[in-house]
Amino acid sequence: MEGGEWRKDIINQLQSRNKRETSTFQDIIAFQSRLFDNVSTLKNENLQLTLMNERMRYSNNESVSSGGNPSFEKIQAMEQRILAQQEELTSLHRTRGENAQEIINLNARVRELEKNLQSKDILISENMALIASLRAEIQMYDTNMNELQGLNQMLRDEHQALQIAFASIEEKLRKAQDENRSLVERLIKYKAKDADKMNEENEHFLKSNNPTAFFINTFGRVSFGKKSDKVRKELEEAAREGCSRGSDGSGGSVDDKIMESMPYYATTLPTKVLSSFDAHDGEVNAVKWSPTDRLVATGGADRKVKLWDVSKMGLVESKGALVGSNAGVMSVDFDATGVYIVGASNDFASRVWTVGDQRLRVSCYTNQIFDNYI
Amino acid sequence: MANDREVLREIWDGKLPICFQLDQEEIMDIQQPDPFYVMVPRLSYFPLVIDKMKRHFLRFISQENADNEMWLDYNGQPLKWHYPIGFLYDLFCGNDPQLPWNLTVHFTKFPEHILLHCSNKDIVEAHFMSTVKEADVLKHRGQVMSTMQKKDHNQLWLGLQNDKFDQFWAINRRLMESHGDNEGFKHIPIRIYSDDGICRQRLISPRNSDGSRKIIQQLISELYPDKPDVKLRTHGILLPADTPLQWLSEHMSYPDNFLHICLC
Repeated sequence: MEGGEWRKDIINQLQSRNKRETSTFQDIIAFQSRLFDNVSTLKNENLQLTLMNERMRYSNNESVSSGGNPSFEKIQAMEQRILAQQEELTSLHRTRGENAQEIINLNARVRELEKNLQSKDILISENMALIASLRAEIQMYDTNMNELQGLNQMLRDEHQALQIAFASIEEKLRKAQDENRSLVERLIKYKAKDADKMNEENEHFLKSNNPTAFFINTFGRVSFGKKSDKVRKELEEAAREGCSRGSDGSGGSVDDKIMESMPYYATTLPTKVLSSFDAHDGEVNAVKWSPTDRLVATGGADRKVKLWDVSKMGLVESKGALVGSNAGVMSVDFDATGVYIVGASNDFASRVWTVGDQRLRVSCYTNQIFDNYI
Repeated sequence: MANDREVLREIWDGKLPICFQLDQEEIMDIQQPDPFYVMVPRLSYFPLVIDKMKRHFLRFISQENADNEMWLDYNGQPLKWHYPIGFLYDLFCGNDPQLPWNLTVHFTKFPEHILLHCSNKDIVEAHFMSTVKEADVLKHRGQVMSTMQKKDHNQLWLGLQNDKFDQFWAINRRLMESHGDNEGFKHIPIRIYSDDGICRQRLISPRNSDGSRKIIQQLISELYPDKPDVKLRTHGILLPADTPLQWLSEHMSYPDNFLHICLC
């Protein structure tokens, strides 16, 4: 701890300061403040006591005044009563007037309400009439609807009957076509037979014209009996020589004949466009000929299968568009009779339409196809 | 280090008896109000100790002035609430001790150009904390205050407000420590007031240029070269001329960490 004269001096000064300023006054001020508090509480108490005193005196006075002259008291009481009664009377009169006013008001209100009621009644009856007319209308529409339904049913029946007739006619047509085809086949067969026969004859003729064979035949027959062995040998050698030559020649001609009798296929690349037309919006993914009719079916990215009649040269006529596919059609094919057409599309589905009425007959997705085949 | 507990305790225990009287012009009651006597700590501030007094006098003034801000004067001079009470006494009555100290209470005619408004105690706290921070900046470049937590600041303030010596010094001790390798503060937070209340605040180092401790005598010759016999008063005592400034700052600063010194 630092020390020195200055510190001692400071401490002394502080102590004397505290003695002078603080401890001298500490007690007296504490006492003063206590007295101060006491005074204020006593003042409050005093005030309350005065109040109480006042109240007591007042009640005392009352009790004293009640002991006066009884008859005078009575008269006064009666007078007061009369006064009160009169007041009551006037107030009752006033209330009566108010009530009368109220009755008038209420009457007016009742009238008003009645008027309201009447107008409401009128409104209700109007509405009733409206409802009745609407009901009648509804009934009319109902009968109308029934009629239309009957008509519709009739038309549907007719349509069904027509369809059945159409199917039977179609069947007939197919049978006729089949017969036609078989006839054509038979014709071809006969033609082929004729051709074979002609070929045979030709061959025969050629064989008989062959000099070497002729030579052998004639000389073979002559030499057996007469000539000596030597001559025969020579002849045979010579004949062998000639035969080998002759057989060579005849062999080549036979080969030519075989070549000629074989069916002849000319393969040429198409170089000229006969006709062109816009089939689809977007790319065309599949084309197929109908096996029976002059029809071409195309499948395109516009989700349609279209049928085209190409029987007239250079003029393509649309026979209709088969709709129902949900994605681009990737492949189309006809069945053997040309009645149905199948289209496979990118939505994992295949659909079958009939060519005749261009209606969607079957629509099956991948799973369904598998199920059907299994 | 402020370790001279005896001095600290004596300073802390200093109290002043004060007699408050209501301004004669403001009395609106038939009864003359009694003067109000109270002991107040020298280190405290007026707004912290006058609640009861205010309640006492409110009964005697007109109702329309009851909400006005109260202010005090001594001999016609308004007292600034943001100075410690002990310092105000030294300033006005240092040469002419007058106990108890008679002050007049006013509720009207607030001297706007002299006093700061003080609507509640939070404003006193804000002023106090800012003064402590200013002193810390002078002493340690503000390092100590900024490392303290909010609760330390609260403890400092509550210790002063509730007159709790140990609570206050537990925190204030840290503000009085020296930092760095050289013993002592960077500068001494000191304000010197002349008789007319004008304050002088200079950057004053606790050491002379040769490194020795600066004492009061040297400070006086530095600040008042033409008045070598001037005396300095603080806490109601005259300072011995050979007191070192560092010790003075550590032990005799007011709670706001400033040395408030009166010339006489």
